[in-house]
Amino acid sequence: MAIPKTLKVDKIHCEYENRAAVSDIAFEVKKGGHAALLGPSGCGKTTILKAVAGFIRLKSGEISIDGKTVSGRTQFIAPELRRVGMVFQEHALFPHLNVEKNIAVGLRKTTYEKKSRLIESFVTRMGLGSERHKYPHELSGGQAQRVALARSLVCDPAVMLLDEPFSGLDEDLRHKLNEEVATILKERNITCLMVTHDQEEAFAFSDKVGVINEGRLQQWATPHDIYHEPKTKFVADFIGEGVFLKGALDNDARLVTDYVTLRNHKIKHNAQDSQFDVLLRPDDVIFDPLSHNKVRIISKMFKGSQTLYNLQAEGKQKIQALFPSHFDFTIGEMIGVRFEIVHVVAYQR
Amino acid sequence: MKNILYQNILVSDKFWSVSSVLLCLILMIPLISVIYLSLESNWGVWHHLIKTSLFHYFQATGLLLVGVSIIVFFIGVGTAWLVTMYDFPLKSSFEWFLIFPLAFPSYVVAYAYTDLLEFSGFIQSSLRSFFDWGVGDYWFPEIRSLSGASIVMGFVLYPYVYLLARAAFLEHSVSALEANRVLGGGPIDTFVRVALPSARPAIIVGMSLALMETMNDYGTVDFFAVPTLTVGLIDIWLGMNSLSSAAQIASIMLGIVVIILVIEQFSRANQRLYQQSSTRFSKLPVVRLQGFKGLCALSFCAIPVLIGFLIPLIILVRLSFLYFAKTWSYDFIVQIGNSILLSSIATLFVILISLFLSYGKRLTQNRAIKVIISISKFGYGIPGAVIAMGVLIPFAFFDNTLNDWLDNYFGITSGLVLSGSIVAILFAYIVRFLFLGIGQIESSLEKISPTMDMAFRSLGNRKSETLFNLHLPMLKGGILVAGILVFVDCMKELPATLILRPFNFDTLAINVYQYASDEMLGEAATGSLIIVTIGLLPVIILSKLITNSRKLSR
Repeated sequence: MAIPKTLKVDKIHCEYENRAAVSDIAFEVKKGGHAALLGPSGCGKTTILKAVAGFIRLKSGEISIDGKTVSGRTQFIAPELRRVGMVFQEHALFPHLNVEKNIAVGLRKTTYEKKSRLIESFVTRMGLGSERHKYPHELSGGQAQRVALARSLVCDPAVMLLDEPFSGLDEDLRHKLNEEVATILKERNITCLMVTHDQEEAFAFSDKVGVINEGRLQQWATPHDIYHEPKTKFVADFIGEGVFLKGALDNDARLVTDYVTLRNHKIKHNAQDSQFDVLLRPDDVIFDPLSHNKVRIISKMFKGSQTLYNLQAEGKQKIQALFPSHFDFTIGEMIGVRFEIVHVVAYQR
Repeated sequence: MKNILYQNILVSDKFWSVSSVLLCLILMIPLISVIYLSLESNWGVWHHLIKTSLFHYFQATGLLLVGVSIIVFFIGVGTAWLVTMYDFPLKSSFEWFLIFPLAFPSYVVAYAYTDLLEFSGFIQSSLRSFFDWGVGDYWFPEIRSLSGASIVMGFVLYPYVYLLARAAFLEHSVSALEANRVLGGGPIDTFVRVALPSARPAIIVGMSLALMETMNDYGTVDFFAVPTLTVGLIDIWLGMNSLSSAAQIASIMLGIVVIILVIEQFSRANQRLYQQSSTRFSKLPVVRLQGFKGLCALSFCAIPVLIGFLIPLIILVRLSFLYFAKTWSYDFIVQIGNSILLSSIATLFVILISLFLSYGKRLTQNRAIKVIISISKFGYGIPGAVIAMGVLIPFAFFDNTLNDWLDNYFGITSGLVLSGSIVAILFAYIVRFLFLGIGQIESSLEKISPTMDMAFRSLGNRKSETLFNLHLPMLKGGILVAGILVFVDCMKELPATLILRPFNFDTLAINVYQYASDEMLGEAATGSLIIVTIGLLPVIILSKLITNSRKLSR
């Protein structure tokens, strides 16, 4: 028997103000899995989230949760009956209720004892003990986010939807909360779909990432594959850093670029005369004093443990490289590099 | 996205939009009928007017507007700057003392000062007995004059400018002020070159509000015999019995108000632009003024409070005390009851209509409907006398038509169904004060963001539950504030009530006006005092807001 898929989005198509917002989106998140939708702003990722929550109706396609169709051709289950939790960037806490009451909003049909027990456990788990009687405007960004999360979790949702949940917070807190939230959700084995434009956040949080551009799903894969085996040029460009080297196929079906010659089994032989863009990530370039490949340092950017260099060999394309920051090269210096490209990614032009 | 969220709140969207538009059109009837009436040409009356009083109407209105502008600008901006940027003795008390004059309708202040400054008043009598002067031996400024009216209104209306300028000074970016200091500008240079220009839109909005109130005033100018356009409108309409000429005067007044309104709206848009950059509140660097300087700042803030609030209050309390037995009668209690009844019903309607229209605006995607709803709230700019005229004429037309029809077919006379009843006053109140209701409720509704609705729905609440368990509790405060503001303004309203009230139906404001016109200021005092006491309610709300804003800036 196949593993039950908790969240299934099947070829959905949504419109916003009579304009196609997203089309042909399909993916699945397994029970307890964490997925993230990643893309530039306005790409339609939030529309997908709202479609899952039931705030936007589908033009076609189907969404099912735990095998039950919630949005489909004939079926539409109201948002309040879907058992989805939702956490927003702006928290959307109810300003007229204090922390405890905010958390209790979804627990209307629960008995008093159970309610107070649940609230108690979440207040403790989220470290909101001393804030429990405060009102939303008295909370810091991180506390508000925890309340928003507790408020959704307390209802034991089948799917948790997070809409840019950490983007209003500062760097430190963002990393901390990201980890914390992921842990709490894993603890409870809750399926989760997050929307973000921050790739680090998406990678840290999820086991599957979908990259979306202009309303279309570009790739649905593990963070590793998204980074190292981007399926489209958009994904390669959007994710991580790097440059595209101009390349051409030689007689032996090898890709010849300014710096390296590579073999890519995915390229068909009949593509003989075409031009290619070959992705070169900064971490594919390794400092090697013995190498014959000499490049000049054009500029550099210190990034803490590593330094990002812009390099260029005489009369060739510029490339980028990440070296441990212990090597402190000066601009204008010539250094030797070698290329270790494990994942050859090339796009026909 | 929005329309999916709010679809079918209680009835269908389409029904909601259509009825919103209909409601707005009904609310525009006064405006339309005044303009319609003014289209009739009427050269006889105009010929006479041009020869006699027309110039005076314009002159008086123009001078009054200029006088009030100057006073409200200097007092409003000056006090706002002192209070936000400096620390001096009693400063934090003055932050809210300064808005107290708002509690007074200007005609009440006019009556109070007349009592104090007229020939038989306290000051002149004391001077005469002290210096042993006789009649005509000395010169004394005449309070019942154009400059007197400007001063009275200026000192009552400056809080509009004060409030908005203060908010602007608090909100605009401290870094801009600091930048100018670093670039070598002194405090005065910073005020003139950075603070004042960046608060300009807010100041203009405040001045526009004060000027619209000036245009609306009838009690003060009537009492001081200043022949403004409002006085002219009523003279021509009721004295010369020329409806169309009166409507033409009314249209001229509307024209002036529209100019002020356009300036106001334009500045509001700018205000948003100017204050956008200041998302972060940082503490304003407050300079301590000590010794003589502190005393000067204190007096600059104390004078408007004394003139605009404390002195008239003392006069009224004294008069009320002296004349209380004469005033307090069965009729007087009935008048209080009438005032409260009228104001409460009007408030209820304003709140319901505001709720209906605010949701109508939120629900619809149609720009035209949104614009119509926005236009309908501009009744607050239309002077009360003009609204009264615009209400009375179509109502009277309806009554006459109904009467004729019933008489012809059934031989019954219906009399004055609408124009002679409190329906007319209520309608005028609603048209004039709807703005206050919509303004408050729209801004509370804006705080309920679509995401908040989504969060509430996804926590297992149906649409109706969202409306009653999320929206209602969140709107409660806005509704309360709107209710208080509308109620108080209805209690104070004079010109429309005066024109539209049914025969033998008196309110508190009418009582005060009539005693004052009969030169019985003592008898007018108790009524005035009650109006002022009720007028303090919104002042308390505002001062609470001020305390909150102070917390924010700390």
